[in-house]
Amino acid sequence: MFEARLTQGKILKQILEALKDLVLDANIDCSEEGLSIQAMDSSHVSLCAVALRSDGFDHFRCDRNISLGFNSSNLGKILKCADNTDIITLKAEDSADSLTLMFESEKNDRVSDFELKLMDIDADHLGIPDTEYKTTISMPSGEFQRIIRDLQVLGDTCTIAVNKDGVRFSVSGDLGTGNVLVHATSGVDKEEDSAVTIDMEEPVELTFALRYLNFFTKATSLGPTVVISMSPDVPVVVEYPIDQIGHIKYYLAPKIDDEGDE
Amino acid sequence: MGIKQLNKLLSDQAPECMKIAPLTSLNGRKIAIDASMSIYQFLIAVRQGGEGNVHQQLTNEAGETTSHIQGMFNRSVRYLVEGIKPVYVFDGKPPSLKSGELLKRREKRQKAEEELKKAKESGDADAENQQQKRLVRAGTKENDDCKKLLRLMGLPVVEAPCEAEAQCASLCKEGKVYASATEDMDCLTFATPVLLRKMTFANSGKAEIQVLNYAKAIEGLNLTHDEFVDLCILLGCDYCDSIKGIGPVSALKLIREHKNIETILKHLNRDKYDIPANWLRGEKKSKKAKDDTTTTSTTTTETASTAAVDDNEKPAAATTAENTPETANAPAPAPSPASKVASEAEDDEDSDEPPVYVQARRLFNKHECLTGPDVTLKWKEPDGPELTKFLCDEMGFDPKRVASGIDKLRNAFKKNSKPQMRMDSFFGVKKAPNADALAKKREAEKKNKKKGGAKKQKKTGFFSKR
Repeated sequence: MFEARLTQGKILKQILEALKDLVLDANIDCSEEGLSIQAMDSSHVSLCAVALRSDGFDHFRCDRNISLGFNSSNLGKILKCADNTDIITLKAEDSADSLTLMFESEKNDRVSDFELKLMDIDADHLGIPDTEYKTTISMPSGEFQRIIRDLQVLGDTCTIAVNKDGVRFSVSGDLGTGNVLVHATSGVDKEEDSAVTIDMEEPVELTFALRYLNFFTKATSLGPTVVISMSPDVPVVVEYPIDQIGHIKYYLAPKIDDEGDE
Repeated sequence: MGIKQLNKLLSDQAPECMKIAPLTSLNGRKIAIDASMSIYQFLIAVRQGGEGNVHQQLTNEAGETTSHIQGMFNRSVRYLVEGIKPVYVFDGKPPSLKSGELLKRREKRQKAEEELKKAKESGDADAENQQQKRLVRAGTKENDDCKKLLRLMGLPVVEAPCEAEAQCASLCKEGKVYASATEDMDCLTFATPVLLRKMTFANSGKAEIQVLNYAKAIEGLNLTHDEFVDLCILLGCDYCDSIKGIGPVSALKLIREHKNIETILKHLNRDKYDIPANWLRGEKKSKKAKDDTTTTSTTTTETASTAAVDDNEKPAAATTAENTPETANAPAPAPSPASKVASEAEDDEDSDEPPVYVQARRLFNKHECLTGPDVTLKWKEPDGPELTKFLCDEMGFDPKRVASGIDKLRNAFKKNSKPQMRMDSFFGVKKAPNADALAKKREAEKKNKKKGGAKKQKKTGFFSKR
């Protein structure tokens, strides 16, 4: 038996919005610790990992570890039926082939429940090691979304370079070139949410496909800040912390100069 | 072509080894393609003419066929645009064991030729099309044309010393490419880690590919590699005849029970199954020697030669003769047609040769392939002017289309010079948390299926007849 009740049903809705463009099918892996989703896009270039801790739920019960395979556009359709203020409860039997979603609206005295048919998904699961990154940037998520949107006008690949001046996002395409330089905010007078902090051990410069970065910014509504971690020649991590309950992390493999095919 | 019924057997017995994947999932992968297979496909499929008419292959002004060039060019452009790096592997000399299969194919061609004549006389366009397709042959010229085209496109070409499938598998095993792409199921018997099928993109919008995983296949069938090779030989491969009357299900059952062909032959009821004569080579002689010990010295020399035969089948042959006297005696007094063929075969073939399935097995396991530093795969920039010259002037293609193709090639090359890395090249693949549960579920489903089948037979209706 698995049961999870989340007062802020909005979070689930937003997570799905953040996933559905990137991932077609995925598993929700339920365990005592909470819910997690790991899935790759169809080209296996990016990976999305969601973690929601059990203590962030009002009520959480998971007797046995189960995986609930869903199609993201179908789950999205059902979650559209929930209001942002609704309380959402997820329920599934241990060997169930469907997931029950219950939406409670306190204002309207309305309770609706939906059942989503589940599917068996055996997708590759990747083991992601804990890594110390050379640079970590924390910035307002809206700001990041805007930069990516602006740069996409000019081209399809973006270079993110971090050095002591700040973070430089640059793009070059057929139309021309573009650069956005973001400095770390100085002093403590700024509000926490709009602060930019750069934690740098050594300068890093990596190139990415803007298309995927743009998909990542669909998670902007989940939190006010975004944390970007980079090291040379490994995937970038774009993390959106979700208040009190967990995070959604995106990994994107960089484009690397081909040093000759052997 | 390939292994008979293997595809079906795998989809029944080891469904987890097959996956349908979108073309995009191959982004950034290097793939070895069986060129000979592709050329055939193009020669057959790329034709013009509407329904009800006689279809014609595309030709240039000089009347030379260009279907294969057209197909090869367009498909390769498509691969590159999708971020796939193709390596084309061409067939070398066919192994001598394949001559039987090749002979059969030639006979089929002759038959088709006659049918074609008939169809032409009766004016049946559909039949004519069908027979014409059966007559298609990829000769040296077609192969050379394609090689030239591919080199001009900057794509690597590998000329296999023997069979292309085997070379693909070997490149794949060495890790030089991610997968082999061919329709030929043989490739799996050559143990290519990953086999891709249906890479044709007939409908360009929704390109889905069948991905076969070797490790999962033999795991699903619950066999070792050697057992799997023997299974394929029993199912019927290009290199030797199979035993008539043994279908995929019984072949699998026999292999699971007896582990290899030698033991199967030992236990098989010879009266029920007609075992091809060249499978019993060597064994037959030792039997003969036992039967007519009183006869001439020629048989004794034969016995001596059998003793010197390969270690593999010697014990099997010896024990057969000893343990099953009733079957051993059977062919001698009343020579069946099979044994007649056998004696003919013995006449013209070297008596030292091991049974044909042992040779086939050897071909599957130790195929002549280029390995290590002998193969270099390099993707170069396409040679625009030369390509235009070749395609437009020699082959008579539309210059506009060729130009747009070359543009696409150039862009793809530029893009690939700074390739997008894949996630799995950084993080190792591990077992999904639901893998065990899924496996259990499948197992249960398999069982249910069997039970369900049995039930269906029993249940005939609500009320049974008395």
